[in-house]
Amino acid sequence: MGVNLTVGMGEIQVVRGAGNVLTALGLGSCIGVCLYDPLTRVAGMVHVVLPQSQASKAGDLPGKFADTAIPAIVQRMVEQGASASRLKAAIAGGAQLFQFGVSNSLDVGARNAEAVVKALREAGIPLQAKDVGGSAGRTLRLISDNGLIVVRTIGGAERELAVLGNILASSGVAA
Amino acid sequence: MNGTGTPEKLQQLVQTIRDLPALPEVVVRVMRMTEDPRSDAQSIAKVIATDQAMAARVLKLANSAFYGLPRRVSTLSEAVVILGFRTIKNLAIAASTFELLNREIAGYWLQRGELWRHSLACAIGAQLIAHKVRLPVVEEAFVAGLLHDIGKVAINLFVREQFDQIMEHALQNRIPFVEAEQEVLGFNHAMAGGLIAEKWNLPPALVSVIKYHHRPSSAPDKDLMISVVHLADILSITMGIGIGGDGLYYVLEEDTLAMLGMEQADIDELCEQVVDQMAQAANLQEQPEVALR
Repeated sequence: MGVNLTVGMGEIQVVRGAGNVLTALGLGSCIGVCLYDPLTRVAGMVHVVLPQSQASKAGDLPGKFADTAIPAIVQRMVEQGASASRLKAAIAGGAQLFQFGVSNSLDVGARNAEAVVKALREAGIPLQAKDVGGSAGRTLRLISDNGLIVVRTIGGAERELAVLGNILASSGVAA
Repeated sequence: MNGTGTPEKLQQLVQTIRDLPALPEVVVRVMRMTEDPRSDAQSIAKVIATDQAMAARVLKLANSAFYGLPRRVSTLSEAVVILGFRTIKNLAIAASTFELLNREIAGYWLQRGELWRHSLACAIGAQLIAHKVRLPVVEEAFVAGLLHDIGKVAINLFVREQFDQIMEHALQNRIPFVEAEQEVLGFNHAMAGGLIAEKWNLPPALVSVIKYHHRPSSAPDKDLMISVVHLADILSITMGIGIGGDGLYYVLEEDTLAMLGMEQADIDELCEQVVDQMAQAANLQEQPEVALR
């Protein structure tokens, strides 16, 4: 029986096998990171809130921060039988307040996106697709059957971002 | 485009607000009693107890991890003594507005529970900011944050009819969603919220926060609390907590951080604290019956 799990802020969810769906609701400046191993169908999602952890507080919810989230989710997925070298990634979120001419003092969305891309690169995980920036909220879904990633703009259309299980997919977007 | 909102539409809004439930008599009495130094815990508890659903919800909230009480509180008078008059007043207001704020707000593409989550995050954020800037009325910040978007409940149906036009107007003219509401509908959710707060006879300072939470600099009273709630709201929006179709199409007034003496590093820390406290508060959404066990 498949499960349908919501990935809350700072949470990491990992599932194995077909028939599971992982969802992050209401991504603003946060980033939903989807990782997928096509062979074992181990799928994972983490809902990253901030770019960097402070050394003093690391440990409580590693999924909150880009720099601790990626190593933590990879470890969880490997424990479920995934191979770190087969993992592929897709990300969505990192929205910002709309630029209405005045300088924008809250750039957490852009910093999040940058930090997640960096963390993925350091972990050697190819980033297959990304949908980041803008000022709309997003809902992100990962379907474990084939690593299908679907993004819905809140109040707008739903679209397919990537199929991470597609063996023919190229080795990643330029990051 | 200004003024396309017809007088009939404004009339309809006033009617909609008139039709919204009044603040329960219990809350009005609790608000009055908690301001009166001669009141005692017992009599306040007695008043709350006259409304069973309210009593259950207050107990439930008091026992949530959010308040971190060392042991379980089983009676209302105990809750009043331990949490204090101000917190009890806030709990009563929170409990009484839960039904309204927990509704689906389809006009903004908010599923049931999302506006409540957003309001709670703003309340938590406002309380944290108020504490940080040493505002003497930290408790009031919580209520103000909780109620800041109450106007969305009233203008929901109007926005639903014209959401696409409002969004298009915002994008085309590069103005925030709330200003596009004003120009397309003839009113906006902050103004509508102010009308509701007035209808409920809430204190003038609170009415002002709700009315000006997107434009603190326009408020006649220049109360710092308005900037506190403004920042807490923008933070909750940015983090996507209870975010709707209006997304991040808002602005942070330019001098807000400077006025509050805060920097980017403080913002990151605040975001983190809000996330942590929201996780603790997650069980506030459960049904009140649980509290009776």
